[in-house]
Amino acid sequence: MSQKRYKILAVEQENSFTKTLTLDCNDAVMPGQFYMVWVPGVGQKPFSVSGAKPLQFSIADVGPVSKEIDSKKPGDYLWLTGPYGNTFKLNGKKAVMIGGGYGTGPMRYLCMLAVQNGITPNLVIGARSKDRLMKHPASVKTFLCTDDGSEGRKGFVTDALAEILKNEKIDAIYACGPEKMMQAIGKAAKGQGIFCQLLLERYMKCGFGMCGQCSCGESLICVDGPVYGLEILDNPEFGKFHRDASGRKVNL
Amino acid sequence: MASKIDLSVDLARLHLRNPTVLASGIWGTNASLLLRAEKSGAGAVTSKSCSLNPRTGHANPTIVLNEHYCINAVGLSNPGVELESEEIREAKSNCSVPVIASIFAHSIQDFEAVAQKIAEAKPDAIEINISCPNVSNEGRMFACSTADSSSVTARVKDIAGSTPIFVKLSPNVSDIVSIAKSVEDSGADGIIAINTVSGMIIDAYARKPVLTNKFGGVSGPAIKPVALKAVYEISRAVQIPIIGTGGVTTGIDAAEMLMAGAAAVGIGTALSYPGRSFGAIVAELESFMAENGYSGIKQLRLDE
Repeated sequence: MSQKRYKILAVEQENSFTKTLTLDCNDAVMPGQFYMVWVPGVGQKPFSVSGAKPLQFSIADVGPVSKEIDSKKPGDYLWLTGPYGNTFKLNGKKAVMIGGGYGTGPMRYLCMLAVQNGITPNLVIGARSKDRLMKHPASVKTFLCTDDGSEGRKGFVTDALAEILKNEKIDAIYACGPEKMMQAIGKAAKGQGIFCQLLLERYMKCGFGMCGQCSCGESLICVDGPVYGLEILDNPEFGKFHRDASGRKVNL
Repeated sequence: MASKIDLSVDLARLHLRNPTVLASGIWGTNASLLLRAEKSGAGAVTSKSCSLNPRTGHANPTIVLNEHYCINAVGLSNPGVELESEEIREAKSNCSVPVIASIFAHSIQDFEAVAQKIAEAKPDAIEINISCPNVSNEGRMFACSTADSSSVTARVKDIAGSTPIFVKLSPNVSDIVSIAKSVEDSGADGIIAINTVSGMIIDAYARKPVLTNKFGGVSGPAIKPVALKAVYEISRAVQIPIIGTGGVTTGIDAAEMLMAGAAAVGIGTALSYPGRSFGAIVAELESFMAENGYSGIKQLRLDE
C-alpha cells in the first residue's frame, strides 16, 4: 500500500489547539482506524479518523507535523497511507463514550455510528480547560469535564462516568485518551462487569507491524489494535510506559 | 507423512527447531517482541542492531511497503547497548529458541565496546551488521572493504569468545563473495546475506523523495533474485553456514533459499504481509518437503 494524495475539502476550528479537516476521500473507514499522514518536506505521523465518507481527522497542534497540517487550507493536499488498525464492537442498548483531549475525535465518530445502530450513547469529553474541549454533536447527551472547572464539571471523566453508571444501566464503555485515564476506566468497567474497549496510542514508524516501536508488551498496537478489550489491563506495559523513537522505555 | 520430516537445523553451534530466523530490524529492539516471534513459530530470533549510544533514527516517513517491496530508512534507531543488553538478558530468560544479538558501530573501537557489553548479556550468537559507514575510512561502509570487514570480524570474534558470530553482508558492494571469504578467514562462524539493497522512491505528485532520508534499503519480494544469487555464490565459496535473507515470503521461497545454499532462512518484511507468519511459512515449507520427498533441510541444497 503506497501513499496516495487527497485534497482537503474543509477545515474547521474545533478549539484553539485543534482543527478538523475533511478530505476528498470516501474510504469506508471505522473509528479506531488510522492513516499515516504525510506532508511532503515536513514529515509523517499516524492520525486516528474522526469521521468517514468523507474522511475526517481532528488534529491537535502538538508537534511539527500536526502544526503544518493545521496550517493547511481547503484545496491543499495530504498524502495518506492506510487505513490501518481495527475498530470497536458496538454492543447493547446504552453506551458511554469517553474522550480525553484529542481522543475525543474517534469517540465522537463512534457516537454517531452508535446512533445509526439504535444505541443510545452518552458522550463524556474531558480536557485540561475550556479552550481545549472539542465540539460535540447537539443530538448526543454530553457531559463536559475540565481539570480547572472552566467549563462543565470540575474534575476527571471517571467522576462523570461513575455518576452515569449510578443512574443508568450501561451495556458498553468506550474510551480514548491518556493511558492512565483509560486504565482507570478499564478497571471501573471490569469492576462492574461492563463490556469495555479502549483505543491506545503509541509512537509509530511504519503503521503496519514492522518497526516494533508501538509495542505494548508482546502486542503491536498498529496491527493487533489500536482498539483493545479489557484483556489489555493484564498487559505488563499498559498504563506504565511507551517507547520513544530510539526504543527506550518512557514512563507514562 | 509429515512426521517423518525433520525441519531442525544446526548452524554454528546453534540448534534451531526449524530454519526460519527473525531478521534483525524487524519488530524493534525489545524482548517482548522477540518472544512474540518465537510464539509465531520462529526457529531463532535476532534483535534489532544496537550501537554504543542511543539513536532516534531518521524522521518519518521511514518505512514504505507495497506488494512488491519494502523500503526503509529507519536510521538504525536503538536504545543503545546499555539498555539493549538488558533486553537481551530478558529475551534469554523468556525465549527457548536461540537469541541472536545484532550490533553495529562506526569505528572498530566502538564495535569492540558494543561487542564487549552485548557479550556480557550472553546471547546465543552475535550478529555483526557491517552495513554502516566507517568514520576512520572516509565514511565508506565496513561491508565494502575486505580489510575493514576482516578487522571488525576478528576483533569481535576475540571479544565474543565461545559465542558464535555471524556477519551480515551488504549486497551494495562490487564483490560480495570476496567479502564473505574475508570474514570467514577472520573467524566468522556464519554469514547472513543479504542486507537491504540500496534504493530510493519518489512521489510524482509531491515531486519529492518519499523517505525523509531520501535513500533507503529495499527488502521484500523484489530482492529475492538478488539474495538467491548472492547466497548461491557465497555458499560455493565458503564452508561456514549462511542465513539466507531477502524476500522470503512463503515456504516455497524458503525452500528456494535453502536450495541456493542457505543453512537457514531470515524472515523480515514477509511478516507485514496479510496472512504471513513464521508458522505459515514453516507449514508451507513442511508441506512442500512432504509432497516432494524431502525428509531433512540439507537435502534441499542444489547439487551444483
